[in-house]
Amino acid sequence: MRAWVLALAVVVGLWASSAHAAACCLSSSAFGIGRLSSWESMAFIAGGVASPVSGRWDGDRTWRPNAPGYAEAEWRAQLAALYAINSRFQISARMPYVMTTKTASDVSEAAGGLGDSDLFLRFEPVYQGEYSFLPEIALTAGLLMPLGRTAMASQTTLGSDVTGRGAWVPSFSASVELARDVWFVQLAGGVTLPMPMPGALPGQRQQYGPGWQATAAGGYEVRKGLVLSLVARGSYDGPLHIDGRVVPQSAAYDFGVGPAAAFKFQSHWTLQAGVDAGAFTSGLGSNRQGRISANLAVRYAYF
Amino acid sequence: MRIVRWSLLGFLVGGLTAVVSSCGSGPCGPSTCFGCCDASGQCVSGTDQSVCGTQGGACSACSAEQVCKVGVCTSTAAPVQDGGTDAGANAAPTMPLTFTATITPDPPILGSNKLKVILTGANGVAVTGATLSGSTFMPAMGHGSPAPTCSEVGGGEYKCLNVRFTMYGGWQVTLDASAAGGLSGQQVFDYAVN
Repeated sequence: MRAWVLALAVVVGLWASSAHAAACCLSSSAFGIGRLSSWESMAFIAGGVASPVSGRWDGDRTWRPNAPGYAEAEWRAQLAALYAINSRFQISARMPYVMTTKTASDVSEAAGGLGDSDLFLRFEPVYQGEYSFLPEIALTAGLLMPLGRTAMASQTTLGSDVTGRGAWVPSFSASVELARDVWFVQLAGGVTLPMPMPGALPGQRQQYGPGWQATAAGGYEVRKGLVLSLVARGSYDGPLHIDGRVVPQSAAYDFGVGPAAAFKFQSHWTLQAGVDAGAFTSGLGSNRQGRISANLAVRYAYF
Repeated sequence: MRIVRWSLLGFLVGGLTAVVSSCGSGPCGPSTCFGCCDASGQCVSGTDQSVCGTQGGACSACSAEQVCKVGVCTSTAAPVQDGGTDAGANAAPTMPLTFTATITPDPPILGSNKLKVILTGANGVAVTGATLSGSTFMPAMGHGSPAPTCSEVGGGEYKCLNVRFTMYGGWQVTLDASAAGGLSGQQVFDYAVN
C-alpha cells in the first residue's frame, strides 16, 4: 500500500476534528473531510473527538487559564460519507452530534444535539500520480449548514446545549500534496465567508468576518500499513460586523500542532487517530478557547 | 482543460474576494465602528482610560478625575448610576429615562445572575408602570443568550431574572424601557465575567 493513501487519511482526519472543535466559537472547516483514492467509489467515516478546554484567549490576546472550579469539555461523534462522481469530482458530507459538559461553581451540566453540518465538492485538476512531475492539486468548495442549536436558543444555564453558530458558511480551499515513496508533504489554504444572520436585538443583522485557514503536514510510513505524521494549522476569523459596523477586538485566531497516525488493518478498513493542541500562552490566540483535541476514527472504503 | 481553467479562475476570484473583504469595510466612523476611531484611523474598543469613545467617534483621553465607562468619560464625582464597579452608564443628556442597574452577585458569575433596575425620569422622579426588557450579548464571540425575564417590583424598581452569561469574558446587557407619557430609553451595561 502506498504511503500517501494512508497519509492523507491521517491528515484529513485531524483537520476534520480540530477545525470543528468548538460549536460556538470556532470557524468552520474549509478543507473538507478528505478524499477517495482513485480505486475507491465511496467511503464512510465514523469517529469521535474529545476536547477538554484549558482556558481562553481574550480579545487582547491575553491567555486566561480556566478559573478554579471551572471545567468544560466537548465530545463530538460524527459520521461522514464520500462519493466519487468521476475521476476528478467527489462529494462528501459530515454530520456531527455534539455534547458539552460544563461545571462552574455549584452548577454542572451535560447537554448536546445535532451540530452544524457540512457539504463539500472536491475537484482535482491534477490527481495523485497523474503526472510524475506534478504534485496532486485539489480544490474544495464547502457549505456549512447551521443545523445546530445557537447560543440564543440555549435552554441550559451554562449554555452546554449550544451546538452551532447559526450562520451559513461557504468555503473554498486549495491543497497541494507531494508524495514520494514512503513520505509525503501537504500544504493547504482556504477561506470561509460567513453569511449574515440575525443579531441579538430585534431587527439587528450581524455577520462573522471572513476567515482563512492554513495547514502544513508531513508524514512517513514507518512500516507497512502504519503512517505517522505531524500537522500544523492556523486559522483566523475577521471581526464581527453588526448592522455593517465592525465590533472592535472581535477578530479570532489560533494555531495548533499535533501528531497523527493511521493504520490500515484490512484492505477496506483504516483506523486513524490524532491530537491537536495550541500553545497556551498570551499572544498566540485571540477570542478562542484553548483546547486539546484527541480524535479517533475508522474509515471503510468501497471499491 | 477548459473546466480546469475556469475552476482555477473561480477559486482565485473567491479567495481574493475573501481577502479583500477581510481588510475592513471603509474608513473608521459612525457607520463602520462600534467603538471609537483612534489617531491612526483604526477602530478600537474605546473602553480604555486613555482611548475612550463610542459609536465611531474620535477617541479621547479621560482626565484623572474621570473614568471611561462604556466609551464615555464620566466624572468620578458624578452619581454612580450602576451601583457597582462592573457596570457602566452611557445615558445621553436627552435620554428621557435614566437606568440604574445593580447586578447580583457582584461581580457577576458564569450562569444565572439577577439585575435590579431603577428607572427615573429627567427630573429624577421614579418611573412606575414601565415596560422593561433586556438582552445579553458577548461582542467578542458574536452571540448572546436567551433574554432575561424582567418585571416591575414597585416604586420605580424593576428586576430582571435569569441574566445568563454562558462564557467567561466581556458581556453587554441592553435594557429597553418605555412608559406612559412618551418616556422611553435604551442603555447598555458592560460586565466582565472572570
